[in-house]
Amino acid sequence: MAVFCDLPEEVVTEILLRLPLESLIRFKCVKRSWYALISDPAFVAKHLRLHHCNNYNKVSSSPSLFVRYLRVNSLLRREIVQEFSILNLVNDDDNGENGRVNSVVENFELPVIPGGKSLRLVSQCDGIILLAHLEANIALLWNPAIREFKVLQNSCFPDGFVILGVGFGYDCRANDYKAVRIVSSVNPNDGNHSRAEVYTLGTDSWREIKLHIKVGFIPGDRREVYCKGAYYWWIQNHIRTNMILSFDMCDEEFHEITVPVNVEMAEGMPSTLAVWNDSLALFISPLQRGVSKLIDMWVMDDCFGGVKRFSWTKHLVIETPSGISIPVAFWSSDELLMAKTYWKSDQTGFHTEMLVSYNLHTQKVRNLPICGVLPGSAIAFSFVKSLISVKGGTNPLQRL
Amino acid sequence: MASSTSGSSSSSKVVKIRSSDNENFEVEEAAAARSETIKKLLEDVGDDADVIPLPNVDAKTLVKVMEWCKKHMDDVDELNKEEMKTWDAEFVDMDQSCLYNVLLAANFLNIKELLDQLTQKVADMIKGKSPEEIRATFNIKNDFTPEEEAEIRKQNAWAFE
Repeated sequence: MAVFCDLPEEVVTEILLRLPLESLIRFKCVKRSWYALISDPAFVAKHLRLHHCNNYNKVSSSPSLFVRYLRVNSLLRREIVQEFSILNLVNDDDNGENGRVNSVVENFELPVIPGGKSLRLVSQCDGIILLAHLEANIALLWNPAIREFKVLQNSCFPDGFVILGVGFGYDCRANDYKAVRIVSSVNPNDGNHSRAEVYTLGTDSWREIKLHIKVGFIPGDRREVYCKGAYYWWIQNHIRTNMILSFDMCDEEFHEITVPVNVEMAEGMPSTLAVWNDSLALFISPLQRGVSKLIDMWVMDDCFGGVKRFSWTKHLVIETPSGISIPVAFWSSDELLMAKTYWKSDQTGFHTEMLVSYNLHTQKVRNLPICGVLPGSAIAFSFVKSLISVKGGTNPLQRL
Repeated sequence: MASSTSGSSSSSKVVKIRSSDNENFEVEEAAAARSETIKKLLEDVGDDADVIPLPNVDAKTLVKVMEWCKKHMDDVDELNKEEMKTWDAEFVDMDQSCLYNVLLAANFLNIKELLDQLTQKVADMIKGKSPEEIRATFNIKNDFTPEEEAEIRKQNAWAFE
């Protein structure tokens, strides 16, 4: 008669790999060998791959989105609070009851640091989120699933610089995570000279890298995204030309990408950068009187035949039902998270939005359990919980 | 139940395998070849094979494993996917001792998909348990000092709420 103890080590590893993150954190204190296994970077990487939503061998099939939005806390006299939630889509095989998406919301508390309230959510990769405070030059990495964060210190540009933008991603060649920061000097004599630095998690240090493009302005929020080894920002260069700036996490090079021709000159229009089927997608609504109902979705092709070339294809035009204004992020290849505006004040006296899920094929709109969102404040990206420690390579067992 | 042959496809090739307790089984080659271990053995001995001995798997367990292999012999089309899912769920729903025997056999016989299903089954059984329950259920000895265990719990206090 076989018992659990008879199972060879590799089978026990296979069983543990299939456990949700929360169970693994608890099971760290079962015995020493389990603690060592669950803390092992190779195990952590395998667990991430197995549970990743894009994995066809996936263990958990429900797509998740990490959502940040602002809302007015009516209990505290119109104080604006920043909310962080994970939206887990469950049993998406039916149409949802009463036009609602079946979903579970998990809320997270932001790490407490000085100035923490105005930390801006930038991006995520493999469950690690980069938060930044542009004015105070603070950047931190946060793994909300395991409640770990680290402030990134010793920037190459401590004083006398304005942070224009930050990004975060994974370098598959070095098997390391990197943050990138673009700054410009506050000294007007320096001209329009912007500079950049990169941080690697493995070495826990920043170093300056070459930036040959003069960056004027990076609007941020929904206009930047991490996709497949590169970070993309919608920017204006020093002569106010709209373009997309990309940063390759492996070769640490910046590239200018021209935006689809007809949008080049339009300024200040709502646009969203998103990830669709592992490609970069750009949403543009042509400016019209009142609320625009037509939104163009462009998809970028990146052909690497020795030389990097980028080209755009207009994938589709979305005709949105009234009140639905801005695409936020994709859950899956056809479900798009969008913001729906209520042009009436609620009890707090503010206009609010609610988040809805819009199906590109059926054009069905389903409600999500998040409302009271301040207009334009919602940012989201697909999310996977990971065990990756942001504290670097130190083995926690050695600290005991 | 000492032999098992397929009635539907009599033309397909049959191989003989022997359990650790010396029972012989006749199974279709396509089913037996779901096991990478048996497949490799068959390739090595070629057509001269008389009986393939499986010294690590007893008859009761082998019957169970071959039941799975027969069901998973052919590629599943989209229509049968749901039906197969239900069948698989019922298959892995067995008593614990049997489950570990089949798990050990699937590991020895190297049947990746069955191994995936069984390890997922065990993971689903244990995911909600506390560390104490895990130790008690699986007879695992706690080799931490009380100070070490307290420290690990303190670092991850939220997971124990």
